Amino acid sequence: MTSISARDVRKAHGGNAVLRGVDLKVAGGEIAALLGPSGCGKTTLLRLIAGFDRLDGGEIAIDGRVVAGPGAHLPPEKRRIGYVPQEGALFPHLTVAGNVGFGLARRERTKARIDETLGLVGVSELAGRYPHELSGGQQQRVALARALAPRPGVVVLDEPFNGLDLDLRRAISTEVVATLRRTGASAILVTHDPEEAFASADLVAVMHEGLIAQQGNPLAVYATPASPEVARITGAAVFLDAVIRDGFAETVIGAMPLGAVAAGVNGRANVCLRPEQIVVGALRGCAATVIDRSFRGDHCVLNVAVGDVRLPVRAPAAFEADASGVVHLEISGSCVAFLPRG
Amino acid sequence: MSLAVASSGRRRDAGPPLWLLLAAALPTLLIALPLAYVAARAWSAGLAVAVEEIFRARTAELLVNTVTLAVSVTVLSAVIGVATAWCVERSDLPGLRWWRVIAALPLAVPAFVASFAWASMGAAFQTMGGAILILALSHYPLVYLPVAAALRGMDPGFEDVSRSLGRGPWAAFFSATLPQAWPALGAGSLLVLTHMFAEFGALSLLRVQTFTTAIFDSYELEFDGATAALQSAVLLALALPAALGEMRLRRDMRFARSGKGGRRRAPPARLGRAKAPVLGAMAALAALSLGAPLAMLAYWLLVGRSIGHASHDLWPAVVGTLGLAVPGAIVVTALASPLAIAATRHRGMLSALAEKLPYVVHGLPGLVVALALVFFSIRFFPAAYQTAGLLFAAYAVLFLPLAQSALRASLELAPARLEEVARSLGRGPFGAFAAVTLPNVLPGVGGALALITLELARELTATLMLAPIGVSTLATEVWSQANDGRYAAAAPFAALLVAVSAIPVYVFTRRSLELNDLR
Repeated sequence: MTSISARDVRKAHGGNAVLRGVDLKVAGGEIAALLGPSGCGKTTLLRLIAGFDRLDGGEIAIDGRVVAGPGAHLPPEKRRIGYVPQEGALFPHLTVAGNVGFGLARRERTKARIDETLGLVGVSELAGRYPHELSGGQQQRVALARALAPRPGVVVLDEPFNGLDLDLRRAISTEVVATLRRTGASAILVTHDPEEAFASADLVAVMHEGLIAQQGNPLAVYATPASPEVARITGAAVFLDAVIRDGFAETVIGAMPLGAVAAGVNGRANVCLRPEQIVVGALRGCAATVIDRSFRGDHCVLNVAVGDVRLPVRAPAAFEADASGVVHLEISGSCVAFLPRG
Repeated sequence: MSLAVASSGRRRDAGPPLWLLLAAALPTLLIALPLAYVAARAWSAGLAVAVEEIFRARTAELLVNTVTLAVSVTVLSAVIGVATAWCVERSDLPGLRWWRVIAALPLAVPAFVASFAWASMGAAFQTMGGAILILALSHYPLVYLPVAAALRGMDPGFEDVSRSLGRGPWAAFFSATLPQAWPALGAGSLLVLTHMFAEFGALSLLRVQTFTTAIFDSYELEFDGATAALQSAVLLALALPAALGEMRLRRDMRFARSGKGGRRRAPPARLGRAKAPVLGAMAALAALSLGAPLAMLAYWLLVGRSIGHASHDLWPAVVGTLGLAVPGAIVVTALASPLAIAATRHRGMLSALAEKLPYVVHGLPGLVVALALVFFSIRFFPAAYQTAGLLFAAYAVLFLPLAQSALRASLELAPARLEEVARSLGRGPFGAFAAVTLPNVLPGVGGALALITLELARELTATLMLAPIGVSTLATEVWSQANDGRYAAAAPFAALLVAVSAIPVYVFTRRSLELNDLR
């Protein structure tokens, strides 16, 4: 059980600050997801943790031992961190067995050990193949096996499922997470896909412009985003102007309780809720006029107007408004308020 | 998503390490020598001498000849190249697959071999007009290949749209198709232009006086003279801008290709009644550019046999060629490696320099490079003069671009990420390089070595000036025999040279037609 901690990590590429003081703590055996849009610095942070680049400030510790800090840099080969890069990057000149055995010391490089590791990811029958003879999903499994073979305490995965199509992607990521849990390794998974992050991680750290904007368990991050950016990065979000009074937000579509916000805050604010919190079609609730409707397969999206506010809301796929074009909106759950900045 | 993959796939370290900087300094220094030579020699000659030399009537005459020849050959090559490329890629010409290869084959006959063949037919070809025709016939593939690749890779949608907007087929070609092929056409044409500024062997055999032949004569007449240096300065002033222009256009070409246009091929234009004349023209082009030189070679081979020229001279030339080309290729590849590594693996000044250097270099005429090396070796390393080492240095300057692009292609097979994975699995920096990068790169490096060896085997100018005394190669034998009018004696060497040249031309053609990088 190996823990990882990063404290005030800074890194610039050619004068551009990419990481501006990142703090992250991953407990032993925990799986963390670094979630953020491209360019937010998540891959840079991963590379610093793995030891491929040197940081400019702050420190990184593994199991309490500082591996990177001012004047200290443990080279990647000494860190015992398994690395699964984008699209696998299997060694093209080695077979699957050769790839998996690569990180093992000569006397450990036995058939039994390699087979055991391949068995862990369910591709034992591929041992003799070369990477170009494998499908994308198989390559990812082998890349994971290669990283796990030396039994590292930590595995870092850099958008490993990017090259795969959606169905395969979900299946493989579930499998990979199950395998990681079986081995007990701590893991950091870099992704820009919130669904993938929520499904696989114990801890989601949302990165935005070189900082960790919020970290916590998936549900907490989704339900109570710390900023409008976090709300957008973690999924679809509806923003409404509101007046805050006594722990309630009064919006054009009705009043709803605030989730986590300091007591005693009153006045104008912008609140955020998730689209599934607005239910359409009930007889009660706020009246809205349907402007248009677009079919999306398993649901449809209605553009509705309430007074002069327009907002998109989800409705069942076959939903049709009656001739008047008026529907009723009902809201459930709580929302998050963002006070005007300044 | 694909964008994110691409950008992080290209992730490079911030700066190159010190050893790489030092290793890359050597080829950079070598390339600076010709420029330093021209500057130093012109300086020591003094302003008065320089002005007098540059404004002499003789210089003006050479300038007119050089520019007339270079521009005419370039224009003629461009016209032949574009017409051929269109026929091969966009029309329903019968036997397309064959024409596609035949049109590139004249590259296998080095220009000085073609010139020897034509010159041996009669003095009529040893004129400016003859030289323009002969050189255009041997250089048009440099335009044909990139333009054919551009036409083939082009989204036919542009032409369709301009037809639908009311343009006729000709107007659509000139207003929609040609502008897209422009970077390829421009880069190919400028390549011909730089080749023409640097050409020496063919022009001396065709008895046309340009800067290169004049520099050679001044050098023979007055060793290390100011005249040769000042003529070199004027030549560089012509050649370097052409090379830099080509660099710009190549950058556009890469950009123009990066778009993911539809892979749909345009339906071929129907030649209709023009089919017979077009076929005739293609056949005539092949006959002139390929048939005539080869027929003359065959003729002289037969004559040579009948008058009892033994081929016993052939063997020393083969040994001489291999003895220079094989170690030369190793030296060139070794010197190019740090530049190729810097360009593929690192960011920053050095990488930018490493990427641009080749384009400057191929603007340097071999003659000027050789003169510069003679100058510096006599001043500073007399022991190096007349040794193969000096020649290898010249090869390094001249063939660096070729070596660099060949190495680059194979280095890209082993991205830095593979080495990082190896590091994360417990290998040290050297161990990771040896276990992962080397095995993936070696086959490509072997191919690069072979390609450079073959290219060095057909190099004439620098070899002629710098080869150690008593060493002859196939190329120098062809030139010196033909220069003295002993055509039958030159033929066996020339035939062997053409056979050897066919291999790199095949590789180059395949690469170009497969739409890969053209360098």
